[in-house]
Amino acid sequence: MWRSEDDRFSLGLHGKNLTDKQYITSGYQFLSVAPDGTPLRNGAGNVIPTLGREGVATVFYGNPRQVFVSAGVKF
Amino acid sequence: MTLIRTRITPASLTRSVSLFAVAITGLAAMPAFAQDSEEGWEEEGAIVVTARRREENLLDVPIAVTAYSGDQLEARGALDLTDISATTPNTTLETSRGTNSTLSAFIRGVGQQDPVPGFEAGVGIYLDDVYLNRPQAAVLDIYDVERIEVLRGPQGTLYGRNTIGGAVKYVTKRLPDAFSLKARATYGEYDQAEGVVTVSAPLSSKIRLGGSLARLSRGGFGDNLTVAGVENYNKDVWAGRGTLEIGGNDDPVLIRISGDYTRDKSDPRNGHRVITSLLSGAPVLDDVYDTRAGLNNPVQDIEAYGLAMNISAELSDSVTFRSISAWRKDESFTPIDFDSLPAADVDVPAVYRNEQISQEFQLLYAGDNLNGLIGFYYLDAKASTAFDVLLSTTVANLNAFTAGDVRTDTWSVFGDFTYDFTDQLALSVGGRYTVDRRNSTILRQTKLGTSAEFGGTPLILATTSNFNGRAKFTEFTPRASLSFKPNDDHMLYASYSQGFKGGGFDPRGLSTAAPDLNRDGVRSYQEIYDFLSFDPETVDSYELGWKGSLADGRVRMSLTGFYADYKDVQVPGSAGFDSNGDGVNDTFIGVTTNAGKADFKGVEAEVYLGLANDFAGDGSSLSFNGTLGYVDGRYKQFIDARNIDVADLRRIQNTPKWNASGTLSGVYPTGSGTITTSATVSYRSKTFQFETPQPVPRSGWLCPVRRLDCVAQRR
Repeated sequence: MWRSEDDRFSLGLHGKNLTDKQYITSGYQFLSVAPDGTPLRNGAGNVIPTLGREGVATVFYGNPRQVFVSAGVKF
Repeated sequence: MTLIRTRITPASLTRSVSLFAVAITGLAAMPAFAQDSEEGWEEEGAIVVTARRREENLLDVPIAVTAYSGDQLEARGALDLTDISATTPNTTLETSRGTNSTLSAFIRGVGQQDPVPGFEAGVGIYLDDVYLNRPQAAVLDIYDVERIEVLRGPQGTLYGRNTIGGAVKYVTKRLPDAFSLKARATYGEYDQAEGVVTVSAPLSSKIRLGGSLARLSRGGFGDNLTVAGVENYNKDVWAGRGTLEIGGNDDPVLIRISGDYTRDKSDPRNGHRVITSLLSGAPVLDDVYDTRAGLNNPVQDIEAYGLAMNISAELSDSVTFRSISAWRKDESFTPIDFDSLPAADVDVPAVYRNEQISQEFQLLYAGDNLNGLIGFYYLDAKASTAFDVLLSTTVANLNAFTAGDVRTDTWSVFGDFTYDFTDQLALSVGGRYTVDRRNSTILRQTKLGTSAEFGGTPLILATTSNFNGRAKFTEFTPRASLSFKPNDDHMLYASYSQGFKGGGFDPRGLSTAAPDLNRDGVRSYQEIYDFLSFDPETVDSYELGWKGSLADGRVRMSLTGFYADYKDVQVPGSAGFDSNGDGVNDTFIGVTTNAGKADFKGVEAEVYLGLANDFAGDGSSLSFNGTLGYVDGRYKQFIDARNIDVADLRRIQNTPKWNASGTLSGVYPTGSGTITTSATVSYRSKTFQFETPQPVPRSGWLCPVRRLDCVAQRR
């Protein structure tokens, strides 16, 4: 980021998660599980929903790489 | 956002795993950079914090505190409260599941991620000294910030209930004496466009008026493939703040009246399915940010606002009176499509409504050897929710409806004093007495059709809970610390503190599942009451710390070791039940109980290193900030649904064992100004979202080739 001598103007370049790492932060799961948490399977090898019939096992991801520029002015 | 939690499966998902994020940002220099420091080393250690409700230097406070100045936050490109999580030891601040604006906060293994009223927070969030009673709209956007402080460990004495894990203080900027106009704009990938305008003007020699307006927007990282015009993971926020200041500076009285408003119309955030749909056969999507969620009722809309008045009056050289009054209100309409598919298969239209009034008085004393305060706090809050669970794939139009209304009425008196025996040795002792009253209504119904709240005309088939209960809890939470300063550059301390999280009634409890304990054939009110209620949980924390400055401030360190004993942990879904009266618990009923015990051992280290000065011209510098956190937490007792102790199978939720970060900052003068750089690398080890580790299943086989989602299965 560049900032002028009198601190009046600034310009910046920012990047977050530069390696674009995909990571899970949280999720929902409504499946039958063993006491240790392992999902149980029925005869056909499928997971067993405890609510609904589609099988809820979803996850949420953290933000991907974000690159942005900034500009500021002060009086 | 856990709106529904099936009791057969305590919804538990092992959250992946290692997070390795790198951020590089250009940055604004710290204001105190270079000029103020004798040797030219950054004066970050001299940041003033109010961790003990009075202004002190960070290095003098015998509490584990990480503080960020507004300039540091701008330098790091921090956009909201969750952005400080990566560089704060043993702290998890993140957006709750399925939301853009609800906060899940954990510090040292203690917190709360269930946003439904009835479950209390574990980490207290303070906006200009005003406690935010609910997590909705608590992912505060960072603009016009003076500083953010993160206090680790229980803060029950000075911050009260629900600061059992710690506290986060968001402090906004004071208004300057002269006219000031600032504007900042950013533009970036995903159409990220942000603008913040801050203006302030003196109206007279004693009165200043100022305000900020922020427009924060970003396109989605993904799209909703089913609902046209709806994106996934986007941001659409308007926010503003206005402040009127009277007095201050040389005047003994400062009155600060402020109001804030946030409107968040971001699209609903829906999850990525990791298994093929069992019913419709929809395959797993390639882009993890896309969704097929069909639910768009109600349209997502979050509105939060508040007014506050802070008065500070110096009554004499040594006594100051302070008053903090606040009113806040928020409303969140949010559709949560759990299955993330077009079908109405666990589709949840939801609304949250919160309102609170609080008043705090403090009397502060600053003497030669004795410093401290006494205070009184009062909070009157109501929090309500209503949500459908649409299960049309099970039975056409089937709706499992839940509504909850929780009133909180709490007051406390507190005091905390530090006595300096000598220049080197000081003892602090404090305590707080809290009376916490809860009044909860729980309504659960089975309906056909969407509720009227969400535009439907449902038929009510059955009422499975219609309960109102009151409870009163009283707690005394002490704190004591002994600190020793061998010289001005070092402080060693030992402390003990206690905190608690409020009790209440399980907002998801089914009163029709309450056991008929005396077998008289009637489920009495008392039997239902006992079944649904749970007590506060408490933590006793012991801490040793060292804060030091070496080589004229070129190296600064803080090192903390702690042990925490966590009792009466509120554990979901864990009541054993003897249904046939043979003396053996043969089934369970899901309800929150205090069936857990845990302990935590951990270490936190923060270091600042001044690496080089004037190496590339006068005023140039290079420095390093590092953080390291370690928590070894384990359950000593965890009674599960079958009334069996499964402590060995349970994990501490939302708490990585290891977390670390490093930030390299440089300043390079140029002809016309200064160029500053900042690069951060951070790491978090495997993290479990819930107490029950749960490997993420994949279609066909448990562990697919894509390792990321599967590492969790390694024990």
